[in-house]
Amino acid sequence: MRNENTAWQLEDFVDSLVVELDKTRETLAVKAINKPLSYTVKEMALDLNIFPSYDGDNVRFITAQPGQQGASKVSIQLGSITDQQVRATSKLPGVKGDIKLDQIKIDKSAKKELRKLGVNSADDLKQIEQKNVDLQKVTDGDIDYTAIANQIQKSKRDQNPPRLSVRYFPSKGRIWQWIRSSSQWQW
Amino acid sequence: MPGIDEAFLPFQQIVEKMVAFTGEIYDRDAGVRSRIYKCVIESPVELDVVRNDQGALQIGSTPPLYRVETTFLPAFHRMMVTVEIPEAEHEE
Repeated sequence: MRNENTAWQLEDFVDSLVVELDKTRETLAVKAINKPLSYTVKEMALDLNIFPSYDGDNVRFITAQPGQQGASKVSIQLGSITDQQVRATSKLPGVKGDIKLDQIKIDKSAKKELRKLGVNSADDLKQIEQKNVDLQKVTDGDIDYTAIANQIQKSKRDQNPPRLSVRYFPSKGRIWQWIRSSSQWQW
Repeated sequence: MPGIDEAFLPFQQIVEKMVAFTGEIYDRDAGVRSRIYKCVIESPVELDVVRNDQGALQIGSTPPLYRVETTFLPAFHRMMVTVEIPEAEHEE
């Protein structure tokens, strides 16, 4: 037997586990069409023997190999939740015009600090701002929010840059420009 | 890039195979019919966690492969799956 277990982040592992369980649910749903008394997976739990490591940015785990002693334990429990619960606890993905942190050119440590606070996009920052939370205080003033705001504005402009059309009206002897963002002709 | 070890199955298949039972107990003579509407399966499992070509994590799993005691034993993790017949169906 080959022993090439890969180190993983918890997020990756849970994502893969959920994908596998979704496939199981789909298969069981198909089976239930002809066989109504079929089972569905209600809960799932895994106790993993792992060795954690921290590289300064991320905590990674690797599952214990045969014969290895002294492993730590991670317990993962997945339960079923209703559509209503999903709607109540999840943010709509891909809000139109939203900008991900990865699309903004800001300091790596600032990104990391924001992610710790659950901020992954410009829309997340906006939601916090609307609740009058002073992120400067929460992060001990480590982050330059003016720079981030400027970068967000820049990214928005890059996504939807003003387009210019140029026309020359001989009778008026002027060059007119159609500025998309203001939707009017100017000279 | 490595795939899951051939001795292991994708996690999905392990769960599917675990819940592939009828769940109906029928005794014609006694005139009794019972249904298992909920089942909790707890088992030690071996895991093989690898990344595929697309960089996605693949979880291979198998119940313990060998029962013979050897100088060192595989690492056994523990899995618990709760399956049930949807409430509306078992109340019919």
